Amino acid sequence: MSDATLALPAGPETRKSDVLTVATTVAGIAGFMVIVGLFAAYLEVRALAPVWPAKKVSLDNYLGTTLTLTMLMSSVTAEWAVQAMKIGNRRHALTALALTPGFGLAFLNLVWYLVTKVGFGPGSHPYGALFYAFIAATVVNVAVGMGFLIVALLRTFGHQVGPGNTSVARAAAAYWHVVTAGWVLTFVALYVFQHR
Amino acid sequence: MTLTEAPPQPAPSAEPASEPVAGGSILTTADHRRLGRLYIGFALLFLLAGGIVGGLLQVELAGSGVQVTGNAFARLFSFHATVTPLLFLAPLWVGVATAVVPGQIGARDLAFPRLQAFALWSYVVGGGVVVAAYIVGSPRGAGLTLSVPVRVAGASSTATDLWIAGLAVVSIAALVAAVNLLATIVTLRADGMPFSSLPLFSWATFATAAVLVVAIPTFLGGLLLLYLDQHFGGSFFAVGTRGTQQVWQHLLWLFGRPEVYLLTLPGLAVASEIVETQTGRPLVNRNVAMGALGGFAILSLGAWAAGASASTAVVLPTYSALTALVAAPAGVLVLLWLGTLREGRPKPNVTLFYVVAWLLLVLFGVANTIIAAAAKVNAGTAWSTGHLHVVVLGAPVLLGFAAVHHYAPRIWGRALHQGMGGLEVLLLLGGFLVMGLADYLLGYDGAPWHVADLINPKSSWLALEKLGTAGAALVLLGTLVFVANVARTVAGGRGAEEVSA
Repeated sequence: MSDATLALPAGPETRKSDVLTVATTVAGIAGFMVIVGLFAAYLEVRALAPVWPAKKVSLDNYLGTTLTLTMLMSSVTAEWAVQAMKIGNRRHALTALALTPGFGLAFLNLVWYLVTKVGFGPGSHPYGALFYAFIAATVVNVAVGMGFLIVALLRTFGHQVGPGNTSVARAAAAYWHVVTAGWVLTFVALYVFQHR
Repeated sequence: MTLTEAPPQPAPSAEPASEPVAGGSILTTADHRRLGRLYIGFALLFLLAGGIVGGLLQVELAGSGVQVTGNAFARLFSFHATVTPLLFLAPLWVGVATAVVPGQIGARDLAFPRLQAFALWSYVVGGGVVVAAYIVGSPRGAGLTLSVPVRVAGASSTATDLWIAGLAVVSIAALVAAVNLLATIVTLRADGMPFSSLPLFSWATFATAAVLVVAIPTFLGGLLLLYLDQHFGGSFFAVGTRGTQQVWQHLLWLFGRPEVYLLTLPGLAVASEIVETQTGRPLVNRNVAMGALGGFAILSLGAWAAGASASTAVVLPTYSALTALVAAPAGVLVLLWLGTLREGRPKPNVTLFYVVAWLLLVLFGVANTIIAAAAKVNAGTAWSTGHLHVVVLGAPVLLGFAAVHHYAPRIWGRALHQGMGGLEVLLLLGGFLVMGLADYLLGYDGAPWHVADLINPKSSWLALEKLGTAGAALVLLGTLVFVANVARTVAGGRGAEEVSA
């Protein structure tokens, strides 16, 4: 009998997802849940408050719609970057990856303008506390997403990301989509459900 | 011919993040075992701080007259109620999981080792800020066990701002650790290891982390609202504002109520592994055990609907059923342990003694729940204090210490001392039983909870408070013996059993 070493056959190979995409998606869900919690709180207080929204509070629908369109367009460019990377179109990928945080910056600029124009503070009334909580959570989400996109942009610029290795861009885009979904929920609360 | 069994192969390390990260100094290390040890060490430090303050509160109640005046009592009480569950028990489990899970699933390291180091130091800094809040002043939050976030609405307070900021940092640290552990278990399992073959502790860690990813962010939303309201002098959480008390209950409890169960969930898995190890055979039905652990995690979220009493429950028609259902998976697990012990030949070991102690303590709590329901005891009495100490703190502490004993060879490369372990079990079980009994009896007699001193106390009340103080002293002593046992093992003391990790 030969002295060959026999090994038991290995088990079936398990399909496993990309580490970065899984972690980013889970982190995105966590960020979204902050907005979901605030949304539930908003509906509760809105239903029970004697006056809603507070007196002399009226948000400009034009600004809210512009903010929403900005985020939706940024989600399109984020996905454009991923698709361009997949087919090896580096120029398109770089353009789209630069445009997305650009949209994010424009969004933050508009949010700043909105905050300076609303005419109430977080301590003015319960509506104010909720309004600023939504804004603060969104700003943090957008800032984190922009940081992630800039990392993806720099790595693409340095040829570390390409058709065979799109995970950074894929993960950054996935996080950005969740950020956009979070803003859409915020928009529904603050603008669509502004009045009872 | 030689026949060898092929061990599980580590997951392919295509991702640079999955490469093991070398040690370095304590501050810069990203080695998962060292991080786990540091987590456990800091958690024990916070336990000692919270435990000593809890002991002081018990001594105050045992003596007639007020030795600690109202504001100081409120500050110490809030410190004890916040630090013990949030800065000790939860991080202890994160530490054990950080050290043990990669090895259990055949991974070389965590998915993001440096992220776990970030989570550790964020927890330490956040915990330090929470402690600093109590040193600076009296935070307006009356701890996390009450349904009203603040007692007074009005001007900003530095202590309250620090308290909120510290809790936010600790929560973010827990969230980051949960995301990292989830990603590790999902993506870095050894080839050929499906989810159904995960070791029970890794499975419980996965389930716990998944619930935390949903629950912690809502709490962060609540803290954000509380900060904006407090810092800018708002009236959001003022008593007169309609609806906002329920908002706090929803946002706090969606985290706080599951957290109570999640402090036990990894312990149930550890107890299952201990039973398997000490009987030398697998659980009688491992798939049912996995289902029970997963069910426990999912059902823990339903406990959010419960109130301190039926009159304040958020969802009246369902809360009793949802809360009671959580007990079912735990009961199934206990039956599986008993079945396995019956079929195997259990070896006497301190870890098994810990599991038996846990079972006795939980049965003690369950029996008193039935008695309280029959006697219609009010929730706002000392009975609730007893129940918190027995079921919410005592039982998970026993399983937490059992886990450290069980996994010590993997964490430090040495086993903890068995004799000292036996002493720990006796002191802790005796202490929690005596302390719980005193509080339960006080509750049946109508003594209030959360008070600096008993007003016009019956003579039996003071005697029972003295009994409770003796119980607290035993618990503190048991904890000190455990800490000494760990310190002895860390130092590699003589007689510490060397075991290859």
